Amino acid sequence: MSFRRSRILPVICTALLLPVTAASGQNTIFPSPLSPRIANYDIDARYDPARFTLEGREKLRWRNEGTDTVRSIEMHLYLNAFRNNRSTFMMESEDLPDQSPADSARWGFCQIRSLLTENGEELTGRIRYIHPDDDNTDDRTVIEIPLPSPVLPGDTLVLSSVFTSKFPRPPVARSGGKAEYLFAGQWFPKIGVFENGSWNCHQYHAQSEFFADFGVYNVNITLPQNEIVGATGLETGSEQNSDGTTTHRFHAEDVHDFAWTASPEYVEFRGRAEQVDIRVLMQPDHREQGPRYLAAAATALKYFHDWYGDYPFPNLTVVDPRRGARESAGMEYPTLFTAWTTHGIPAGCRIPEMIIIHEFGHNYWYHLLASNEFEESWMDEGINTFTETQIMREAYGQTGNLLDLLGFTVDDLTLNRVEYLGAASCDPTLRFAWKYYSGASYGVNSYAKPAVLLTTLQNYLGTETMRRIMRAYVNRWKFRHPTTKDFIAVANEVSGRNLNWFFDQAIYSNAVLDYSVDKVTTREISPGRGFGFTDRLTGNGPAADSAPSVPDTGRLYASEVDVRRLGTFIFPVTVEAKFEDGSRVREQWDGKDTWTRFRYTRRARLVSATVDPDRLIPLDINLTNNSRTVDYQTLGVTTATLRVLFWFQSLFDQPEIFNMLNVVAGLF
Amino acid sequence: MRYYREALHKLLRTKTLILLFYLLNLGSALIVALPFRSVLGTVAGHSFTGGAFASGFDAEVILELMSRNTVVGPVFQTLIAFAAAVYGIGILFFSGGVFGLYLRNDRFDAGEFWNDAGRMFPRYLRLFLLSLPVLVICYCIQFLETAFVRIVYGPDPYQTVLYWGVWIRTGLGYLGLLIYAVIFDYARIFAIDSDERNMRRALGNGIRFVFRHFLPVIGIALPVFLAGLLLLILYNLVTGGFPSPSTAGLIVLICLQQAYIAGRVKLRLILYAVQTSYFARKVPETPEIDGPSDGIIDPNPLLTI
Repeated sequence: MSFRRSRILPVICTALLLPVTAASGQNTIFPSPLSPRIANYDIDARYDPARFTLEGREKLRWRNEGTDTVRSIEMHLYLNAFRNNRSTFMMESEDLPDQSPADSARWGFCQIRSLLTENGEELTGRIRYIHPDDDNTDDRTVIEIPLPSPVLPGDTLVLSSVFTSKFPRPPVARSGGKAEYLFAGQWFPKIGVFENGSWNCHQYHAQSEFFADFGVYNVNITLPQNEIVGATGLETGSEQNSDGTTTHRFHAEDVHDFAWTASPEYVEFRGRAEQVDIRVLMQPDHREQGPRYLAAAATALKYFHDWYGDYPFPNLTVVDPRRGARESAGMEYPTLFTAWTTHGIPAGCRIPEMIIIHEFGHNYWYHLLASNEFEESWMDEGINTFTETQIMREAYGQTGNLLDLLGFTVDDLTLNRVEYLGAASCDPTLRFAWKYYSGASYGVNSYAKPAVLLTTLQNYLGTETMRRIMRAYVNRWKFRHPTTKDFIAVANEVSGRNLNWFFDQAIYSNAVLDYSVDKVTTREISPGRGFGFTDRLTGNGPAADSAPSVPDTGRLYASEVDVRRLGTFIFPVTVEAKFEDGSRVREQWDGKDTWTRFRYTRRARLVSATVDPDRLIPLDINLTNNSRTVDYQTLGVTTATLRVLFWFQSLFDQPEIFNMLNVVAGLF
Repeated sequence: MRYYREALHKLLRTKTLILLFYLLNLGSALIVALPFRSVLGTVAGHSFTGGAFASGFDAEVILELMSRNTVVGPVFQTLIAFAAAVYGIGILFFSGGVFGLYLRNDRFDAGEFWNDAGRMFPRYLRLFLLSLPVLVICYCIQFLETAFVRIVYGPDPYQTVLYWGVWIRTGLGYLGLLIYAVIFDYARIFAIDSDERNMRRALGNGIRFVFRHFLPVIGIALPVFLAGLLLLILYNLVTGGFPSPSTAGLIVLICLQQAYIAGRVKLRLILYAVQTSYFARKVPETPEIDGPSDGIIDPNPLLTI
């Protein structure tokens, strides 16, 4: 949009120099800071729901915590990822629907119209768009601003900006609106992270999330009076304006992002668990699931509190996105997250619960432990998926915790493992988010594989040790920016073992774990023949008064079990051999060599052998080769065949059953 | 009820048909099941994975087998399509003999059965192809719900509307398929009854007959369809979670499964029998012409009703 600089600019500059009203009179949540509070924002925002645009005034107070002098700053303008189809985000997106160029509603942006220093120095003309991650000069998601005066270590930089944000309709990648609904994420100019002498400020990629410093946010949001608003932090007050709008004041401390949502149609539910106030904003066509949402949030709070430490904030907001706005579903922000459900979803389908537990978990693994989601996505999504699967099993059963319908059961961890199988060796787990081989590889290595490898580690160390590791990780690194190395150091220290051999393979490489029982044989040993050891032997054979006396030991069997390491991942395994008389022998193998052989001489035949008999290694990529039986499993194979035979007999005779797929398609 | 009594009487006089249809069903399914057994045996026959199938299906193992053996998927899709086609063509072939028998109200006579089946098969094949547009139209009846929702609630209805709409649409889909099925049945009956060679005419007669006697026709067929659903529910109640970890259990499972299939076969034959009984009462026999014929025979007996 254009404006006449000659007349409006001085007005804006004057307005910017006035104190942003958001900063005044805010409440205090914590008696002392929990975090370094480096990037602090006071924002006044006026939202126009008719055009899905927002006019904002922002005051940023950024403190130079490092030892280097800062001569320029870098900031994110995330919404510019949806400015046009030339952005890095759009160019990398594999599956976005075609955007109609004529439909401007589908696009979004964040535009800084004016930028001033505390002294009123004009910086607008100094704004330069940069692209630190690729050579896409059309990407406008990162700006660099050279400063008129350097910021010395310990000094605070104050910048005031006027900006306009437009939200795409419908939401794209977490942010946007539809009809009466808006979800506003990454909607304001946001400073990058200055660390190790330089700015860490990545472009917005199709496969990446975010990274920012902690601070205090005071945000005033003005919008029509009928809107129900939910946001990060606490609402400290509201005032009705004469123009039919209401200004809602929010205050959040020790957070590194601020998101909010508005809709006049929200149905509110309130609850409390673990001394946290829970507010659920449901869509009217899902209102019957409000108690279900509350219960799931309470479950998440309970287990995180018990296992990993207190949730330090006094409140939590859970948002149910509108129909047709699924892109804003399942996303996390400090003290607020979005879930997902659909009307009529049965109680045995616990996808809403799984999402709520997962998104709440991000308040630990993304918010408190503010790792760099651009560069180490597994630390947030992966650790979170691991804890999600643990809680699902604990709260809803070891099997069928995700789906338990009409006798068909699916376990959450199982589903993650199957997803992991789909792209197990494409990439190392740790990689910059936009540098994975594909979107599927990003998904597997950020979510599913870390869940599986951490479960494997937990089974190896023991559940209690693993929980101690996670608790120590939370306590030591909360409100900081931990890295993979930091997590490994905690694991080593708390477990009392050097686990680098595990993490080197699991995190830093694409090694695949696959142990198999390759062969099992068992044969009867012939009755004793030959000379006994006590026989007196002469050069001509046995002495006249002696007879061969190899003792007759009865029936004996010589059995062998060959176990192979088919993958490159080395992991100690247990091998169990089972004999016909019911006896079992367990062997431990360090798994280092490419194969090993176990031999037995016993009175019973070998029946079977299994590697990892207790299924403690979900990282093993192939369960079907983990066991081998001497005899063919006729009963099992025949039963399965008969079941399949019957299914097809039924389906051929009743092909109209496929019409029931309408119900599944319609529900989801 | 009269028609059902007659149908049962017909079924008892033609028990051989039950065996024929059952064997067709079994043979078609074996086209898929036997290769499946072979593949499963190769992959898991000598492991506990295979043994575990005796107790039920482990979702993790199934998903892993499927993700690991992706080449097998397309092959089985082709096999399944082929087996379904074999079954469909077999039913079509047999139906000529069945309708002939039931119209004559005869005991099973192999010669007449196969003669009718062979004679009518090419015509029934043509009839099926001609009826495909009717199938599409009948199936699309369910989209009346979609149109209604769109008109009344606009392009962005609440999910409560969509949820109930889905169930209504599913029901309409079943109704559409039922209507097509009875149209096809009566078209075939018309064709064999009047030795019709023009399948367009047969199809037209079938459509007209169904819509002229809509309620009775649907009322006759619906109980059979519902009985099929009830049978399925009963089967699942009896065998749901039925573990068969032993040979004896396996034999019981086989017996239950095949009893269910045999029940379904009988339902299909009962439906054919009921339909032919109803048809025979509603459509008078074409009178025999004695002496020289001027070649004029009413091509459309329905018009005289």
